[in-house]
Amino acid sequence: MQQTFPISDLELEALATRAVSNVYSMMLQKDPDSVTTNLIEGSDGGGSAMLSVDPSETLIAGSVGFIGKLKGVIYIFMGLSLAEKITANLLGLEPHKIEEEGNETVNDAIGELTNIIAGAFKTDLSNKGCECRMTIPSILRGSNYSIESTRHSPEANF
Amino acid sequence: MRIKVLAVDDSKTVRIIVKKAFKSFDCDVVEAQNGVEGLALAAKESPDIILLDIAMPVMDGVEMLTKLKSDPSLKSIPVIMLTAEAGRENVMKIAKIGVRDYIVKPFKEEVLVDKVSRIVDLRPAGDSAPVQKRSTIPSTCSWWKTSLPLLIK
Repeated sequence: MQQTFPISDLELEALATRAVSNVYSMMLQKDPDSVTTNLIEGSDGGGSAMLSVDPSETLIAGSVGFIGKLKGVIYIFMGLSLAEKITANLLGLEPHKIEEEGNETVNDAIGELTNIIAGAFKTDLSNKGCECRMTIPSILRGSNYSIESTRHSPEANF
Repeated sequence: MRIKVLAVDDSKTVRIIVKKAFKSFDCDVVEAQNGVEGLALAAKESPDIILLDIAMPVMDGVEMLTKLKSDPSLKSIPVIMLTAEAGRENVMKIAKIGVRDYIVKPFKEEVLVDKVSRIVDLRPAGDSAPVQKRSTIPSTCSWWKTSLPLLIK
């Protein structure tokens, strides 16, 4: 049975955009270069999350699941170069030092960033009466891949 | 007296940010990755204050806080929770167990230092004077200060 969002797509989009913007400005002291929104209807059996990055570049996706009145998974996608810049900024290190630190440091930083964005989003949902619980974050790393929702699961890309 | 802070968070990134925040203070930061390690370090190191994440593998912050507060030798250690979730249900749960304060991630280093300095005498490294406690409540704290008493009623 298809899950329907208990709040409108526009509200959901506004919450997601606000969560990303607030976390970026607080943690990185800058506005996100682009927070674009685009809703994919999953009527034909789900959709896939698309990202405009070089397909040969390593892609990092931080994910946090949530269950409750609303169930789902939030993915935060970015290319490795952006992930390294964010990690350097968060830790107060020079970008070249991040390569020396290795994958684990970048994975941890992006996992935490995803956790915080999902937390901000979840708090707003909670304030609208949609109580949920979050999972701990996990990281996907690779190139030229997509993440698809299962049949009848609505998917919103922001 | 040198202050000892125990930072319990599964994220190395957060632990590094916490250490960075206290770098210029007369302070040691000891680290644990989950509640089990946190309880063991609390017993071993007798920290002056604990900064505790909520969502962690192995043992989460709520369980660690519950065990800490039920241990007569550890229950007086003040705890500030660090969490990505600021929902009412979440705040009520930890407020009932007993925390001194609450910081929602992301946070600014100054906010963390300010909140810790309200509980322990945090002194700049090499200085004998404690950090001045602010006389007014900063805007970042106002929600907590005004809402917590209402929430736990």
